[in-house]
Amino acid sequence: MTPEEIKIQELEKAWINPPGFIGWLRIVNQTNIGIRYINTSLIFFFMAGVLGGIMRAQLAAPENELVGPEMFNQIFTVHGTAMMFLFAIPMVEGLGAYLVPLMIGTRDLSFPRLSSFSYFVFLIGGVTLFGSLLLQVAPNAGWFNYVPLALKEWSVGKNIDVYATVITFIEISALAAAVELIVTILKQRAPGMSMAKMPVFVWSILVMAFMIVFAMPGVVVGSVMLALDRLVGTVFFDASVGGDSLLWQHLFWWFGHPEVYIAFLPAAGVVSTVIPVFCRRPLYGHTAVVLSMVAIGIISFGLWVHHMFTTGIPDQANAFFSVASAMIAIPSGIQIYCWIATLWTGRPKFTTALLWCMGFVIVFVVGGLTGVMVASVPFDKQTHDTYFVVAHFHYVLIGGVVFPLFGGVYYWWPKFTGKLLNETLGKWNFWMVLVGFNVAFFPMHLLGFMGMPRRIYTYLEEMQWGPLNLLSSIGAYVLTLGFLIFIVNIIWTHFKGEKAGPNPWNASTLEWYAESPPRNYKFLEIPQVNSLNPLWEKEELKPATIGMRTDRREILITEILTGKLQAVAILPTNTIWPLVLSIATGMAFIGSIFSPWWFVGSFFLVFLAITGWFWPSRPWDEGRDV
Amino acid sequence: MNVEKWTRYHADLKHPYWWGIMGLIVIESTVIAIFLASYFYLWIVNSSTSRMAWPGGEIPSIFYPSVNIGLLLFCGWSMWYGGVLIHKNKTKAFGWLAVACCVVACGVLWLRWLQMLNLPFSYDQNAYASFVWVLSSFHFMHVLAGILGTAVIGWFSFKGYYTEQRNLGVQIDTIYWYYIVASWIPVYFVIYITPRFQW
Repeated sequence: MTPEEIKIQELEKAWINPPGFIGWLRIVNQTNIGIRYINTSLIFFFMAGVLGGIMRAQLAAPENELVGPEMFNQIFTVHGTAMMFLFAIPMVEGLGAYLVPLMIGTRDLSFPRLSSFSYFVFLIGGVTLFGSLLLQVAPNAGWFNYVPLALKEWSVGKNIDVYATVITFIEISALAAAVELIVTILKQRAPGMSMAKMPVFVWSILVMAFMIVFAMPGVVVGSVMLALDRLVGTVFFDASVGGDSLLWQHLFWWFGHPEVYIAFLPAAGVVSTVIPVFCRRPLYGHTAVVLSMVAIGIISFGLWVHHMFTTGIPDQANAFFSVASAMIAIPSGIQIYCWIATLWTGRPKFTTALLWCMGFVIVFVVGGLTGVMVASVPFDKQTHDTYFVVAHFHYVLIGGVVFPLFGGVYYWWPKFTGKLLNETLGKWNFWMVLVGFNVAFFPMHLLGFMGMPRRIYTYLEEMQWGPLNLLSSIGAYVLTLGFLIFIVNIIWTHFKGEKAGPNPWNASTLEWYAESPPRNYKFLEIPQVNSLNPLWEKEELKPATIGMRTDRREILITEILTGKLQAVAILPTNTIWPLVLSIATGMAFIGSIFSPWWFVGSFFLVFLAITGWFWPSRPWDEGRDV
Repeated sequence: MNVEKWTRYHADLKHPYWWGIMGLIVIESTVIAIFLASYFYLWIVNSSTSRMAWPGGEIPSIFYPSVNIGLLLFCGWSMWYGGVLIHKNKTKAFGWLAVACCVVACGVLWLRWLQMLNLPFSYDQNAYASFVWVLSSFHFMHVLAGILGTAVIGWFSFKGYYTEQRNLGVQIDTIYWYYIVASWIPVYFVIYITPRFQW
C-alpha cells in the first residue's frame, strides 16, 4: 500500500460510524447529525403543512364543520409552533451543522457529542408536540401563547403545560447547536482563512448562532415562569399580586422577533452563496452583505415591541419601535441590491436552485413591503390580528426562509447524497410552489382589509369572505402539490439520479473540495486557504500542515481573527451518552407536566448521564508529553 | 508546518471546551439578566400604576444570603488555588481542595435550605416572593450541580488522572465555579438588597 492509502485506511478507522441500530444511536459525526436534522425538520415541515391544509379545508367555505373550534385552536397552534421551532430553526441549524465544518475546512464540529445530544432533544421535543395533538392535548393558545389566556385559570387542561415545558426543552437543543456552531466557526477554520476570507454562508450562520444565544433565553425565562405559574403556583403573570400579563409578551417577543431573522439570515446566506455560483462571478458587495447581516442581527433585537402596538403601551415607545422596525429595511435592502447586482452583472444559469433564490427575492420583497406598512403604528392598529398579518408573515417566512432553503437543498443535494436532483421535476416543483403560494396567500391581504380576524375557525356567509377564502384554499392545494413533487424528485433521484462529482456546479467554497458525499474525516489533508473563493483560484490547494495523527480524531485550532494555526486538538468518538442525557433531560421537562418531582428526580439522572459522557476511557496514557 | 511534536494537552483558550463553557456561561448569564430585567419591569409597572407597593410584603433577612457570599467566594478560591497546585503536579493537594470546596458548598446549600424554610412569605404570595423563591432555587440547583461535578473531578484527581498537562476538566469545572460564585452577587443584590432602598 502507498503511504496515502495507509493514511486513508487509518482515517477511515478513526472516524468510523458504528454499524447497526445501536451504532446508529451512537454516531456523533457532523454530516450524519446534520442530515438527521435536515430530514427530521423536513418531515415536521410536511406534518405542519398538512395541518395548514386542514385549516384551509375548514376555511374554504363559510360555516364549515370539518373541524370544531377546539381542534382548530390546537391545529393552528401546533402548525405555527412546529413551523418555527421544529422546522425553521432546526433546518437552518442542520444546514449549518452539515455545511459549516466542510466550508471552513475542518473535520467535525467542536463538540460532536453535543451535536448528537441536541438532535435527540429536538427529536423527542418534536415527537412530544405532535404526539400531544394526536392525544388532543396539544397547545391551543396560538404559537405565541399569550397570558392570561394561557394561565391555569383560563386554560385548564394540560395543553399549555405541553407548550411551556416542550418549548423550553427544544430551546436547549437550539442553544447547544448555536454554541457549537460559534466555537467551530471561531476556532476551527482552516489555516489562512481569516474572518475576511470566510464564506458568506458561514457568516450568516455565525450571526444567527449569536442571535440564538441572546434571543432564546427570553422565551426560556418566559416559558419557565409560565410553567411555574401553572404547575407550582408562582404568580409572575398574575396582575392582582404584582405580576403582569404584558411581561409575557415582552419576554416572548424579545425572542420572537429576532427569531424571524434567525431563520432569515441563514436563508440569506444560502442565496448569497447560490446566486454567485450560477452567475459565474463573485458575490457583488461581499463586505456590504456581511455587514448587513451583522446589522440585521443587532437591529432585530430592537424591534420586538412592534408586535405589541395595540397593547396600550406609551406612544413614545411605539414611535421608537416603529422607527427601528422601518430601519431594518435598510440592511435588508442593501442585501437585495447586492443580489440583483450579482445577477445583473453575471451570466445567470437558471437552474432550479437559482430559480428558488430568485423567487425568494420577489416574494420576500412583497413581504418586506407589507412589513414596512405594519411597522407604522396607525396602519398596524387597523390590521393587527387580521389576515393581513397572516399574509405578511407567510410572505416573509415562506418567501424569506422556505424558498431559499429549498434552493439550498437543490444546490447541496449532490453533496449530501452524491446525486443531482432532477432539474425538470425541480422546475415543476418551483413553479407550482410559486404560483400556489401566491394564490394561497395574496388574497389574505384583501381578507385582512375586509376585516377577517386570524384564528377564527369559521365565518358567516354574510361577511362575504367566502370567495377569497376558497381561492386561498385552492392555492394552498396547488402549493401542497408543488411540495409533493419535491418528494417525487427525491425518490426519482434516489433510483435514477445522475451521479455528481465532488464539484458539479463548479462552485468556489471548500465543501466542494470534499468528496460527494464526504468521507467521515471530510478532508484527507486540511488545506491552507488564501482566498475567499479558494476553488476558483488558479493555484491548487495545498495541505496546511504535516504531522497530524491519523489514528485518532485530530483537528486544527486557529486564531479567531487571522486564522493563523494555533494548536492541534483531539475530538471525542461515538457514544450512547448523548442519547441517555437527552432522555433524562426529556424526563425532567416532559415529566414536570405531571409533577415537579420528575424534574427533581431527573436532575440526578442528568448528572449520571453527564458523568458517563465525560468518563475517560481506559487505558489512560501518561497525561503529559513524553 | 509540522505539527507532529505539538502538544495535544490543552486546558486553555486553545481547546474548544474552554469556549464551550464560556458559551454556556453567556447563555445562563443572559437567562439571569432577563430574570432580573423582568424583576425591575414588574417593580416599575407596579409602582407606576400604583397596583402594588414593591416588594408587597415583608423583606427577607439578608443574614444567610450574605454568609453564603463568603462561603461561595471560598469555593471559587479553592478551585482557583487547586488549579495553581495542579500545574505544579500536586494532584493530591488539588483533590483535597476539591473536597473542601464540596464541603463548603454543601454548607451553602444547607444555609440556603434554612433560609428558604424561614422566609416570611410563600412563593405564591406576590410576584416579588416568586422571584426570591425561583432565583434562590435556581442558584441552589447550580451549586448542587457544581458539587456533584467537583466530586467527580476530585475523585479522578485522587485516581491520578489529572496531571500538570492534562487538566482540562479541572479548568472547566473551575470556570463554572467562578460563574456560580459571580452569578450569585447580582442576584443577591437585586432580590435581597434593592427592596431595602426606598427610591
